[in-house]
Amino acid sequence: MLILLKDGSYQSFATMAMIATGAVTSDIEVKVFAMEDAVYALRKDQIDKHIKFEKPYPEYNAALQDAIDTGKTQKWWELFNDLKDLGDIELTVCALVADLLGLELEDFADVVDDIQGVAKFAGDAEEADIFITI
Amino acid sequence: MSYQIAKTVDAVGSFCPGPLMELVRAVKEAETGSVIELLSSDKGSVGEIPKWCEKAGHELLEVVDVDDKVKSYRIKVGEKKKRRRRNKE
Repeated sequence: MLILLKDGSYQSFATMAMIATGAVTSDIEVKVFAMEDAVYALRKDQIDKHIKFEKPYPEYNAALQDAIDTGKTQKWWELFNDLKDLGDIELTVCALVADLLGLELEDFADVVDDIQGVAKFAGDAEEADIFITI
Repeated sequence: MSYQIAKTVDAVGSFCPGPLMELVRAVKEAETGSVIELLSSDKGSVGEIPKWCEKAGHELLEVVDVDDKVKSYRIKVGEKKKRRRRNKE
């Protein structure tokens, strides 16, 4: 399974992590490729900030924040890191956007595994049985 | 139905996919043929746990209502499958 993530909102990352959970727990290999705003959101100094939810529904935001604060659900990157212990899953960021922002691998949150160009993405897409864009 | 529960995983209060994640971890560490009990109050578990057991090759022996919110899922661990991974060579 290959997931292309373009949007940098918390909800998009959470959606990706939930889909990936279904796949990894079913022993399906998952590769996630982040482009555009999603790359920015993965900066080490940014990842904790984007938990400020963008949904236009205050009740939803409050309920989600409460669930995280009380340990009833995990932040998406905590879930993603747990998935790495259970199966084959990796998160790669787009080299172009990393270059645009002047970022090296160490500038990204620990959940990021690699920086790669679009040829890597194209190769992964060619191999993948399932392709999802978020 | 007679069996002995080898391990209980208490995921009560945890939201989806927490109970599934905790069950998968427990099953990976368990012996083939042993029985794991998952306690979950998550509504998603009702459909998710049977589906996962079927797909992963484990037997859902029964689901017992503990109270009006919590269910006990008893799973007999099947043969561990090898991970599906493409040969990149």
